Amino acid sequence: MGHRAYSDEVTRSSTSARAAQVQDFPSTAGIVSSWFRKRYFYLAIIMSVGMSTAAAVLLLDLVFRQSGSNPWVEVAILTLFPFFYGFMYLLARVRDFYVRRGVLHLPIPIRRPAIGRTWEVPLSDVVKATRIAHEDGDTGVLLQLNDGAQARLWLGDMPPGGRELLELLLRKFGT
Amino acid sequence: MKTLLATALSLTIAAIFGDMLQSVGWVQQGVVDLLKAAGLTVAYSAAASSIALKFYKAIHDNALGRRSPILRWIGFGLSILSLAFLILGTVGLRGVPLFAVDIAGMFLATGGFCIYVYESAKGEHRAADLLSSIGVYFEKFVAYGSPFVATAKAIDHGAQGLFG
Repeated sequence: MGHRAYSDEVTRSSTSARAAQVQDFPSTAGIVSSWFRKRYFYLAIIMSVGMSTAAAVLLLDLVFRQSGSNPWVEVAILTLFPFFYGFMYLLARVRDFYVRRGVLHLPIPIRRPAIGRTWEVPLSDVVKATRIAHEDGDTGVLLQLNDGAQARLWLGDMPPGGRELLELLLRKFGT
Repeated sequence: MKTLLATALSLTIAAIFGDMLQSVGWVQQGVVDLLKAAGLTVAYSAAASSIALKFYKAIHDNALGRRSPILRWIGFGLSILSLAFLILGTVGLRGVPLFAVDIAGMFLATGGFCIYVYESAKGEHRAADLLSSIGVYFEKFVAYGSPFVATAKAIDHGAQGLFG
């Protein structure tokens, strides 16, 4: 038991040391506001409010029959709304990628066993990094976390200099 | 799919110009109604299937933790959705519901246009576009054209007094 605890401690301190070697990215000179990082979230809210108003008008007219419009046309339009809300759900989850003080801020959230959905992954939780590729030519790194969760970082989601960061992660955590 | 979408878009434009020409007596109402009915059927099936396909791609990329392609798919998907709203709005809607649908169509077209332009300007997308076939040009045509078509349709409806 004591040996296991010592081994875990050594692994944790080793991982923390490697995480500390990863610099902030993009560089601190290029920090943007939280409002800008969440711009797609706000856009999704604004568009959802506008489209919900249109959906409410169509539903009310479908019930009260005030305008004399063809109800089947209104029903056909309403059947397209679920697609819209699906798009807005995906849009609202998107953030900019960056690294600050040893914490990865992911473009799209991942689900972790202990804390649920999160955009933030401390580099000290990363135990393994593997190179991955997408069929469209994009490349990235698959990060294996200490609780069994996985996070994928794609070059296409990163600002200039992303390739160097991915290579650094592979050097630090690669097997 | 692209053929269906191209047909739907051309029928939309034909229906808009048909409306205008009919209002000055150059073509008969029957011709305009035929265009609208054909446009309605083709547009609904094309839009629904195209949106479903884009939605599937977006979910697939989302599962892989990829951000950039999702936004581009969403931008194009919203443009297609706006065209479907516009064509459906040309048949059988009157008054406030028609006004709401026209405004929603313009809203979607503008949102889709902004997202598409912002995302496709990024370097990695431009690099991927160089390798792509005609699909990129078609996406651009729809994304760039839908705000103008949406605005023209809303103005046309207003000029015909269909909102009141």
